[in-house]
Amino acid sequence: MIQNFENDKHNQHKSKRENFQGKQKQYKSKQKSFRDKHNRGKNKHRLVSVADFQFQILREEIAKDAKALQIPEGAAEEITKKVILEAEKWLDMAGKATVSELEEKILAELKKYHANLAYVYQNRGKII
Amino acid sequence: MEMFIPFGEVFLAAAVHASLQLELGGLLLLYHASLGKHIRRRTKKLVNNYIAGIGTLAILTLTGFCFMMDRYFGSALYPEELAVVVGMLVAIAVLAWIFYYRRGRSTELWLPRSVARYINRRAKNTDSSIEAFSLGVLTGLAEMPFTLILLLTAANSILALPFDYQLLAAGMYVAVVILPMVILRLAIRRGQTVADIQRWRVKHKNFFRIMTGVGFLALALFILAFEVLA
Repeated sequence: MIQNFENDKHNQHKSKRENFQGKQKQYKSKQKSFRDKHNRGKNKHRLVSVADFQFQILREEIAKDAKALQIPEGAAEEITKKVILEAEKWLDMAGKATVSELEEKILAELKKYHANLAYVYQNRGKII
Repeated sequence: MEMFIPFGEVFLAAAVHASLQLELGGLLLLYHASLGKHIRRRTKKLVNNYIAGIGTLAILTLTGFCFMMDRYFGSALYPEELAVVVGMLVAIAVLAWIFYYRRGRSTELWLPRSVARYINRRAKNTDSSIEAFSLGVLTGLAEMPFTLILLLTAANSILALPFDYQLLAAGMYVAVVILPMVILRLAIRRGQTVADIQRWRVKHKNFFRIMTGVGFLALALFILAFEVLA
């Protein structure tokens, strides 16, 4: 009878532990999806391909930066077109690359055409 | 001499407040986002409203502190209470040296990244005057951990002045605080780009860091010498 009591107690502890571990796993997976949601597009080590990366958004951002720097519209459009073309070509050849590698490539291309535009691109989100 | 000390304290507190970089950074973000989207006249209006937001927050906080100190303490702070303020100023000076700027070749500040991203996002999406005004108030509030003690010190000094000079001192505080933003506005108007100004800020980051800490210390010593030990 004592043995049964001890077995029951052991089983209770075991089930409590399993419940707790199950809840921990659920909590960790919730945390992960929360993190993923907030890091969407910001995870620099995420692998991207030509289809994944949103070149249209990049085009608009570079256009806005160029306008803010008072670069003439025609020149800004040419620069944007060439930079995006080179970046797409590079990414196509590479197949897949991390976001940070792609950003370095874009920065290198921007530096060829306009130093201030490259500087602004490099320092996005680093003003404050 | 009687009026020199309170005016000196107000001016020093305002100068230290002006040396902090969050409000200036917010203005630069607003300028950059707005110049990329709107015509110049609209950008000018947004910037004016941003500066008005910061000034309004400063004057409201300052006068609020003056009112509370007068109502609940009866007058300016006692020397023992000022000694505590001196201690806090010294602590914040050390914090400003160590924590105010993050590491690296940028002007990233101590703010949690989520708050910085929120301010960034708000600056990018600011389209109307009221949004620019509230962005100014928001950045002023975000800077409060460092500026609250300065506003308290200035409010204490203002209460020590004769009534006729109190409004002048409060006006002087706000004018000094918004001066760097006015200078930035003039610089951009004269042809400087956002990139040039940001490069200048990065180049002189260490100087600003040292001067902010020294400013806090100088204010602490000023109060210690002329109010606590006198």
